[in-house]
Amino acid sequence: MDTTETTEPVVPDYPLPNLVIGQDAKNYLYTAGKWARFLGILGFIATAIMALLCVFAGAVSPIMGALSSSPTGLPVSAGAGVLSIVPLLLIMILYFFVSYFLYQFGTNIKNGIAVNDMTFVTKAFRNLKSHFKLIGFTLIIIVICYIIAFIIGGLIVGSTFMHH
Amino acid sequence: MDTTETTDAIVPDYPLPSLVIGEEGKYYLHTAGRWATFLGIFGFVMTGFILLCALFLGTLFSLMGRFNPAMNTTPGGSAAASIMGAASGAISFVYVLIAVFYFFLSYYLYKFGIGIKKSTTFNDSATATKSLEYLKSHFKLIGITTIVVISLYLLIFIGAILVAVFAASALHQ
Repeated sequence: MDTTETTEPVVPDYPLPNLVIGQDAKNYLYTAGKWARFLGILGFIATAIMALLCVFAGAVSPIMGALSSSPTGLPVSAGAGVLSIVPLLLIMILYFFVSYFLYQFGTNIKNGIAVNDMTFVTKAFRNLKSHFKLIGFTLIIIVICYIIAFIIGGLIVGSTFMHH
Repeated sequence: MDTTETTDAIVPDYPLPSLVIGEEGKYYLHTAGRWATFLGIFGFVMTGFILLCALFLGTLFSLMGRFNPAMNTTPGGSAAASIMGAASGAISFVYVLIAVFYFFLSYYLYKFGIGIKKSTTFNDSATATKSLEYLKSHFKLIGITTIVVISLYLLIFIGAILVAVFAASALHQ
């Protein structure tokens, strides 16, 4: 009650140099931080499982290559095994950093709210920004890849029709 | 320069009930808000695509059921067609569920982004409170959905093990 009374009369009087947030906003931020930390920890676990899968796939693919009876099959399938790990590895690295930024946001915001410290909160918001930025960049890259694949596919189809 | 000096003087004196977000924090929040707005709009577009997919899949399955001659002539074909229809309904339902989840996820993110951009520009604490509530809702929705999905996976896993055990014991008798 007191907090909202003290902050609200201050804001309309003159444009404050700083953004001041009250008890309600602090509660929301704290809850957001708790969920963010939970999601970050879950992300770390998922990353570890993906890493295990990578190691497993890396260990299995040479054996699969050796087992294949075709004389030319050995180097091809070994190469394919290595290639199949690359997307998983990329997703794993991406997921790790997404979770890391989320975890850092959660941890710092909890500390910052607990001791009312601006440095913690600033650090938390920097990580929140990095989290959203990383997801945004990744989405843009994926969309561009889709568009390029679409154009190349269209060109291939178009050139096939031109030859006939 | 002035801003940092005043906040530094205020904060250590007595524990303020309200939290001051400095110039740097505001900058980060503003950037986070811009990306959040972008992600929200992207999410709205994706929600539309998912709904289109649900519609398309539902129509496709029902057409397959209608035009497959085996399903109308062979005995038990009508049962197969009804199973097909049920499966298509279930798949469409799952798609719609994902679309609803994705819509609210994007909606909260969009509202957070719009609000936090405004509040960091005008130092408006009321708008900041509202947008932080949306940020909380966003993370809470992801968290609860993750818990539900993991529980479902665990249930399916346990169910599969139970079914396997029962089947094995039935085979041995």
